[in-house]
Order: sequence, then structure tokens, then C-alpha cells
Amino acid sequence: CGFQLRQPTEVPFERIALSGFAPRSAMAEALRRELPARVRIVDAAAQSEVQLVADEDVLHRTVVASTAAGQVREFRLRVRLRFHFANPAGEALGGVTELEQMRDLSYSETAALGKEVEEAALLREMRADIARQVVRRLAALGQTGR
Amino acid sequence: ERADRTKPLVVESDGKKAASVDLSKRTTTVVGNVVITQGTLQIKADKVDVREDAPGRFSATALGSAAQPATFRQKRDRVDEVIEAQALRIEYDGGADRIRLVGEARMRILRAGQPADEATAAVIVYDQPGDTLTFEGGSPGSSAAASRPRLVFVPRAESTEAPR
Amino acid sequence: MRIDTADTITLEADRIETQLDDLSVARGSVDLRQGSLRLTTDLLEFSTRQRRAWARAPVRIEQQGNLLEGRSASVQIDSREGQIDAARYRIARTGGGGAARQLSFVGTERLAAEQASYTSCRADDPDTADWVLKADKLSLDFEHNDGRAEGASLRFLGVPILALPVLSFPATGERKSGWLPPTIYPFDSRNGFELETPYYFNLAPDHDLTLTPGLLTRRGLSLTGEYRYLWTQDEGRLKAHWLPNDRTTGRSRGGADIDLQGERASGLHYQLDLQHASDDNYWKDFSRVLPSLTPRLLAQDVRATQPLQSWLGVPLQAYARVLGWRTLQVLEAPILPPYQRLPQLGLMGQGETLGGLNWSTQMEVNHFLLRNRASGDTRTDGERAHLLGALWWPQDLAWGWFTPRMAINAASYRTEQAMSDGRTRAHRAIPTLSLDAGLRFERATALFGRALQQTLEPRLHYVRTPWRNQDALPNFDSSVNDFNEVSIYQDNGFSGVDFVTDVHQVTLGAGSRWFDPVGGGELLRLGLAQRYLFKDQRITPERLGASGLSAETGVAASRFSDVLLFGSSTVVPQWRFDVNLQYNTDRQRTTRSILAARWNPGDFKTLSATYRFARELSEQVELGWQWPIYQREAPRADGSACGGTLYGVGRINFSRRDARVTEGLAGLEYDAGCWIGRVVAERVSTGTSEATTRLMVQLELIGLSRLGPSPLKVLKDNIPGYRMLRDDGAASTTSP
Repeated sequence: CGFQLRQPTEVPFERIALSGFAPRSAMAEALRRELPARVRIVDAAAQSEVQLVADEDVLHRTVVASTAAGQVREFRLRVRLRFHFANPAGEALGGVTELEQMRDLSYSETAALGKEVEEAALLREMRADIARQVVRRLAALGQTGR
Repeated sequence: ERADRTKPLVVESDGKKAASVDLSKRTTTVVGNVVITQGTLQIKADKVDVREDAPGRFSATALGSAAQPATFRQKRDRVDEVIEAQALRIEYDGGADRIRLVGEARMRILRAGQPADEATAAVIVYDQPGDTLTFEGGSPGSSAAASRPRLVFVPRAESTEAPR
Repeated sequence: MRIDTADTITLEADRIETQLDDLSVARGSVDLRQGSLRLTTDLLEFSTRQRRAWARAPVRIEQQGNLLEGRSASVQIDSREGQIDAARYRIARTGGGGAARQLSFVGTERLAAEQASYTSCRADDPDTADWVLKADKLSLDFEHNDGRAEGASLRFLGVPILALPVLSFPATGERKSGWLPPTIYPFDSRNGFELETPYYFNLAPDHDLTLTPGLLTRRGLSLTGEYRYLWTQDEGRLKAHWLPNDRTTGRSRGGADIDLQGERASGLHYQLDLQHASDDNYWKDFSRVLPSLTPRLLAQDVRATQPLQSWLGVPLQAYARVLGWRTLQVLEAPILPPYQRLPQLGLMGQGETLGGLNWSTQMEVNHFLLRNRASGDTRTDGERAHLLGALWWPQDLAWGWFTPRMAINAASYRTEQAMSDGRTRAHRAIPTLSLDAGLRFERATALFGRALQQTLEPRLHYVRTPWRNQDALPNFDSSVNDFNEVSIYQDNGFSGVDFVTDVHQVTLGAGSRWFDPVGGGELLRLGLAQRYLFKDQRITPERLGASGLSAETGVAASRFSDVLLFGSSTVVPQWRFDVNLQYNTDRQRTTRSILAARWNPGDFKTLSATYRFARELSEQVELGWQWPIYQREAPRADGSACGGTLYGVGRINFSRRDARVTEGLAGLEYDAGCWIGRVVAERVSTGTSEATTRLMVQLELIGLSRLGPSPLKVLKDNIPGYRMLRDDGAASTTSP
């Protein structure tokens, strides 16, 4: 039915700069983990070969279900990253892409401590998924030329 | 300059045609690249009528054409400023010391040889004693746009700093 | 601001008299220009030496879109400073304008007017505009986007709604002390009419204070203070709300919310989030004050992390935390409070050795304490020291991956009261072995005629964790994981440290995605997964309660877990579907399901419906909408596309278990081009038979500021897909 095994797509850059991220941004952390070891993350844009510029890096936590007596029963977690690639000088390479992951997490006040750990694991997985999609796009950028 | 009035009035032409004199009107008509000079005042035109209204006081009418308008040039009392102007007809009234430029009149003030303020109008009147200029538009019939008075002020060296 | 003094000045008129080197007098349709400045009048005097022009007749001045008309004016051409009398003005940047007895301006940057009126509505006579701000002195500074009105009075649709000695608006950039526009709650079922008038103290560029005296007709006077500071390495916000004498309860009431954080060069980062409420009903009466997402559980959380350079050159991180809880109890629906960590101290690290072997470790000590526990609550306080260690060897080749993993969860307990088996000390160590493997297939395909890229990823997750007796252990920080596409591939069925499910199982699943290869957006995602247990599981999620494991039921649980089906799709244009289904094969019934659909045909048009079911926990139906109801007349010529459109906005959350609307929000939004009016009614259930209803009226005067509480936050958080009027992109906020 036309499926073949995915071919390895190389990320053709050695030095990449992550710019536009807030300090201690969890999304930037996820990108560091997902980028292949060969790719070094540099601080200054000037030393990089390509820049990943975050236009919007946001986490939304909203209550979507609660009991009649104000107890929260369900949270909706939304992680959104809008980004574009740019050359070291900052000119954009291609348009802005928006990637979003949304998951619901049941909750009860009594289990607050456990739910805190579960939420962290869920968010780490959601950010890892977005980061993997960004790395695929980075590899695709390589193919289509700087 | 004011001193020009005391200077003799000299009228020259290219000599191709003879000047004609009409004693009854006490006017002389000179034709062909005529140049009138009196001190720093200089008027050039194709055809000039010169009248002597009173002993030692002359007035003149210089006629140019669209292709070759009559021109006027005079140095001002201020240091190193020259007024240049041109029009279809220039009337110089020696008595009242006033110059009227009529028809597509243009005027320019040169400071230290550099062109500075400029003006265009249907009629420009330069009153020397009062050191004033009056710009008027054309009569309602004529094409208003072309002859509406228009002045252009170029920033002066010392006046470019706005008063603080 | 660079003024191009080098530009020449041109002066045209029907007649001009010039005194050489000085004054020119121009008469008859005079037109003076320089660069972007253009001045037209009938009688003008112009001094070449001062380069200043005096318009002695009705004059019109245009500059970069700004328009000033008046009876007379004088302008210094080079510095663009000028005055104009009996003026009418319009400012391009804010679309606002009005009239003034006397108005002075500096280019297009600053404007000061006396006896002035200001409105952003297009109206011939400012006084007939929908809203108009009148002031004795009005100063607008567009470089700092800062406006200030003295002796201000505001009329809306002819009705004077506000009078203030000094009003500053919109106070951005260089902030000035002064009254901020007040907030009004015309109706609140518990507090009556509420009026708050904030006063802003711009103490210094790096800290400021806002004091907000308030009046609540049913309760009396209140005072809210918010102090903010932003230093080089630290920032913080301290907010306190105080009601000295609440007439309905006869007691003083108050709340506090403190948010501090900072870091030091050594890498130390500290964060402090403290919330406090004076009494258990505080959340019902003053829900706006405390921003907590869990209104009845207020966290008091102080934590610090410090990275350490360890001897092996491997980065470790030390952390310390104190976490307390303030639980607001409601008689008919009490909350069993979670444990407090007083304190939590730990060391964790992660690294990769040669050969790609990854390791991670966490060593931690906790002192767990319960606070104001109810009489029937038999849970014990105690200490726990634990070590979590893991070794895994990720092999990721593009077409597949293979990750064996070994982990250990060792903990030792000391409890105040004896555990169910009489001991006060216990320790246990639970090893886990797991393997995660999968293949990645791809193909180009098409769906509904769109060329798409489809991925298919079959996945296997094998876990082997021996049974270790945990029956008597207390439950300090464990909870049951939701059964979703993340937890189904995890080794432990619980989150937290205390309990580890004894499993010998394999999970088989497959996920498939369709995405647009060019734009990259994911259009459709489907997934299916189920577990097979090689042996019965003794520590099952159903047994875990707040005080530990309940007795084993001895009933042979099924060897097949629930089936998990999940998917989300934006394949159909304008529609988005989400499905999350957990189906129990033995009992042939769903354990948990979320079905959601949203239709978003255009800007400001969205309808959404969501059904959420969690067996024995909650069953909720949620409807959300934002829809234009009425359009007054065709979009006006001045380009404000939605002049005069009325929108219906709202969301209703119905709980079938309680057979009640747990949260209802309905509102109307009217965009009249130069002002937006919002009326939002909110009904929050605070008990099985009790609810708080609140009416919020907000008037947003475009080009001036928001007046009244911002229901926007309420709307944006609660209505899926809600898009703020007057805002191109979806305004997203970064919440913690």
C-alpha cells in the first residue's frame, strides 16, 4: 500500500542558534534534546549557520471541567510554537510555521502532587513531539537550499 | 543699489537697425539686443522705448518675446546679493524708481553668486526705495495656474538654526 | 525626530507683498509647504528671518496624516512648533480627534490643548460623537503613547459617565502617576454594585504601585494594593486585597497573591508563589483577586534550584522546595487536602556515557505533613527518602527505534502513626525492565483531493516490574495516570514515587498522521493501542486511594487492557474534530471519552461542542459560541470593517452528574467602530444549590483605554476559538 521505511534525513547544519526564546523556556530545552548530537547549539546568531527564531512560544492551561462546588476535574493543556528559520543575518528563510499540541488531563485537588508530576510528563512528551516536527522541517530546509 | 540713480543711463544695441526718435513724445525706440545700463542696473530686451520724463529722469519699456524674454539685473545694497529677473515686458519708471515685470515674470536672488530665493508670478513690481516686491496673479481670463504668484525660500546659512 | 530644515519652503497665493529680507504678506488661497507640512489659509504673514508663519484667517494644517483646522495659527516652520486657535483636530495614529479652544503642537509627536474634546468616532461635531472626553487641559504624547487629561469628564451616548481631576490613558511607555480608568461591575449576586477606581504611583522606572479603593454596595469599602518591581536579576509582584468590615459577614476579609522570582550568577534560580485567603468562602465572593486555576486549592510554593559541577564533570542539580496548601472547604463538597512538603530536598542529574548509554538519577528527602485535616482523615504524616535511577540505551535509526531501559525505585519511610501493618518504618526497592521499539513508515497520499504525506508508526512497549509489597505504605504523592496515548507507553501506571504497578505486559499500538508536506500543518492524526498482560496485575489503579492501596479484590482482572482510540482532524476545512476514547473490552463500555467538534467558518465566527465522560468522575457537556448577530449598516467608508456589528458570545458547561450548569457565560459584544461595548453575564456554580452570578459591563473606547473590568480574560480563557475583536492574530497569553 505504498508505505516504505523512512529514509534518514540528515540535518545539514553544524551550528544552529535558538533565538526569540524566553530564558529557561521549556520548548527550547525540548529542541536541545531532539536536535541530533552532531548539531551544536551556539548562543550568538553570528556564529550560527542557521537560526531558529521563535515568534510565539506559549503554554495555555485552562480549566475545562469543574464540579458544581468549584473543584477542578479537567485541565486542557495547549502548547503552541510559531517559528521561522533565518540566516545568521536574520533574514527569514521561508514563512512562519505554527505547531500546536493539545491534550486534556483529569485532575483532583487531593491528588495535586501526583497530577503535577503527570502534567510535567505529558508536557515533556507534547514538546518533544513538536520538537521532532521542527527537526524534520530543519532537515527539509537543508534539502531545499539555504 | 540706490547709487545707481546718479549714474548715467547708457543704451546700446547691436546696431543692425537704426534707432528712431519721436520728438513729440520725446521717446527713442531702439531695436535689436538692446542693453540699458545705469550703474549696476542692467536691462536687456529685443526692443526698448526710452522716454525722458524730466531732465535727468528717464523711464523705459523693454519688450522681449516668449522665446527670449526681457531680462533685468541689479545689485542690492546688502553685501553680495544680486537680483535677476525676466519677463515678457519690463517697465522701468526712473522717477518713482520702480520696475514692473509683466507676463511670465520670474525673479531670483543670488547670494554670493549662488541662486537662493526664487519667485514666479504674472506681474512682479520691485519698488526700490521701499525695497519691497509685489507679486500678482494674472487677470482672471488668463490661465490662473501658470501665473499664480509662487515664492520659494531656500534656508539661509545663518537662519537654518531655528530660534531656540 | 529629524526635521528636514534643509527643505525649501514654497509659498503660493493670489497676491504676495514681500519686504525683502523680512516679512511677506500673502493674500487669497494661500498655500505654504515644507516637507510633510502643508498650511492653507486666506491671509498669511511669513518672516524669512524667523522662518515663522502667522495665519490671520481660518487655517488648515496637514502633517503626515494629522489634520488641524482653526480660526488662526502660528507655526515655526523648522521646529514644527505651533499654536492654533478654535481648533478642530484629527490624529492619524489613533484615529482620534476633537475640538479645542487653543491647541499647541510639536510636529506630530506632542499635542497639548485647552478646553479640549477628544474622541475616536468619526463625527462632524465632536459633541455629537458616540463618546467624547472633555478636559480643561489635554496633553497627548505619541512618542511615549501617553495621554493625560486634567479636569476630565467623559460622556457616552450623551450620558456623563465619568469625571476625574486627572486621568491618564493609555499609560504605556513612560508612565505617569494618576487615576486609571475605573472598573465597574453593575451587578454581582454576592457583592451587589461594585466600583473600583485605581490610582497609579509611578515610583521609579523599575518599580510601581497601584492602590485601588473599591466600593461594594453589599459589603462596604475595600482596598487592593499591587506593588511590582523589576530589577536586573529579580522581579516580583505583590498583591493584597483587604475588606476591613464585610457588612454581610461582619468580619474583615482579605486575600494575598505573591509572585517573586530571580536568579544569581551562580545559576541559582528561586521562585515564590504564595496565595492566601482569609476564609473558606473567599473564592465565592472575590474570585477575581486570586488568579489560581484551582479556586479552592491555593498553593504556597517556595522553591530554588542550584546547578552543581560534580566531580565526575557531570552536571548535577540541587533543589529545595517548601510546598504548603490552603484548602477552602465547602461543607457539602469537602476536599481531602493533599500532603504538604515541608521541606523537599533533592539532587538530580542526567547524562550520557560513551557508547550512547544514558543515565538519570534523583535522590530526594521529603517531610510530608497534612494541614488542618478533617476529623475522619486517618492519613499519617511522615518522612520519605527515595532514590530513582534509570539506565537506557536509545538506538534511533530513521526507519525505527529500539530503547531498552532499566530503572530502580527505592524508598524508605518513617511515619508518625503506625502503618496498617503496625510498623512505623518501612523500605522497599522496585526494579523495572522495559523495552520500547517501533518502526516508521511514510508514503505520499491524498485525502479529499489534497496531496498529503502520511506516516504510520507501529509501536511495541514491553514492561516487566516484579510485585513488591506496598499494601501498607502511605500514599504521599502518587496518583493514577490518565489512560492516554502518552501514559499507555509508560512503565508505571502511577505518577509520583510511592507506588509502582507490578506488571508483566506488552502494549501494541499504531499511530498515523496525515500532514501537508509544504505548509507542515498536521491535518489528521489517528491512533489505536491496547495492552496484553502476561500475568495478573496485583497493584492495580483501582486500588490506589488517598491513604494508600485498598485490599486486593482477588478477582482475576482481564488480561487485556482497555482499548485506546485517539484522533484529531482538521481535514475538513473550517472544522476541527477531536476524539479520545478509552473502551473497556471486558465490560464492553467506555471508561473515559472526549468528543469535540469546532466549526470556525471565519473571523469572529465559531461554534464548538465538547462531550467529556469519565466513569464515576465527571460527565460534562460544553457548548461555546461567538457569532455576529446583527450588522447595522455596510462597513463604513473609513475602512472600519465592522462598524456597528453585534456579536453573541458565550459558553455553557453542563454537568450531567450534578444535573446543573456548573459554569455559564453569555455575552453580547457591540463594535461601533470607535468603541466596543461588552456585556457579559457569568454564572459560576459554587455549590449543589448555590451559584454566583455576575454581570460585567465593559466599554472600550478605541484610542482611549478600556473602561471597566476586562471580561476579555474570562472570554479568552473559556471560549474555545474566541478571537478578540480588534485584534488580528489570536492574542495568546503565557500562563504559568
